[in-house]
Amino acid sequence: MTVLDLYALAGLGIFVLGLHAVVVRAHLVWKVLAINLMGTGIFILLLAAPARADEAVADPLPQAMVLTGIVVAVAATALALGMALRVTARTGSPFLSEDPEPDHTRSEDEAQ
Amino acid sequence: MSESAPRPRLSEAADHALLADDGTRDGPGWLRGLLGGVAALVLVGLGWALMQRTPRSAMIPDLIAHRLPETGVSNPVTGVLLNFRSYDTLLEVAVLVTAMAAVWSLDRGSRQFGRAPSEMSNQEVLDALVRLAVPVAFLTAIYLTWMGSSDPGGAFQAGALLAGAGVLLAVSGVLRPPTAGSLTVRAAAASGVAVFVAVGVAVMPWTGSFMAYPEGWAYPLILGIEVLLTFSIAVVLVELFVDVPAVPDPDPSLATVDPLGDPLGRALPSSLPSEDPDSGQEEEG
Repeated sequence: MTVLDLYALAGLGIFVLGLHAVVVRAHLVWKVLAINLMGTGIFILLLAAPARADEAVADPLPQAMVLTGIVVAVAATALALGMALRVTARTGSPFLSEDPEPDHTRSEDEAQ
Repeated sequence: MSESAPRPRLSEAADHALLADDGTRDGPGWLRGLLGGVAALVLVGLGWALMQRTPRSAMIPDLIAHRLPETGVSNPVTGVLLNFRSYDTLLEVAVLVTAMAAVWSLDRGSRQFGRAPSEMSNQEVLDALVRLAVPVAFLTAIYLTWMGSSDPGGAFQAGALLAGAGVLLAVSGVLRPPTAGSLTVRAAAASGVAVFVAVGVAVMPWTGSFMAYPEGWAYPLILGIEVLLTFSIAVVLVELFVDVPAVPDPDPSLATVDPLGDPLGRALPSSLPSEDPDSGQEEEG
């Protein structure tokens, strides 16, 4: 196992931490943070997994893709936090309702 | 509330309501433990798969290194982003602008950008920070944009830095951000994508394909695109920060939902107190 393997495994570990939190945590801000964490883990993996110790310069292609990914993640995070704020503004609580009754959209989904 | 009413701001109480989490909604401990075990198994499986990988061939880095002189820039990452894979970068900026439009559409007419200067308890510190950090951030952003063609840097790093300065200016009350959805903001935010597409189309009579720069023109075109991208990325990022739906005070009498305000006509959550028709207008300003 090389240092690069260690980096890649650390990326996987961060990804799985985020995966666990996004399932377990009910608070919407926690969920957004957890999805961010998953993305960060993927970025580390994407940089570390294809890297080769015998190369003097790192492959620019994964670097460019991670740079793109970071920007898209920022945009998605802003939208998700905006939606969390909207849920809080409408229901007074930063949690998704577990009561199916008042939500017409859900009953429509079930009918299909 | 009428349109002219002051914008609602995130009060201390709303801050608390939004961020408070005692974990009681997270499900029973045994379930969390079980899911932790599942996550550990997923990690072991993924780690095993990772260790089975074969070394990547050096074909793509070699290809990029050999053809880098044709891109007009000497930083391979910038060459990939703005020449070899310029579609990626174009669509990435489009994603940013789309996210801004989506955030705008979440809650029209009910916005906030931090607190008013008078509400700040640490205004002196913020003012000093603005004086120190904003000029340095602007200078560094210009440097990063310029150096992006030869060294690590470029439109996105510089745009993020500029956006940081812009957010500082907005929260400290030094600059009031322009109204959301105003023509100025729309034009500034879309300028990056617009120029990118315009350049991509304009080169077609010479090279015959979209975004293929004519020989000798790659560097000036990339630099021009980078400068405009830096500017519009900064505008979009500041907008995404300052122009979010306002959260009203979680006072029970205010925690009501305006039935007319929901285009889908969803009914009220049963956990909320029912309200008389007038109080429903209080929630959003």
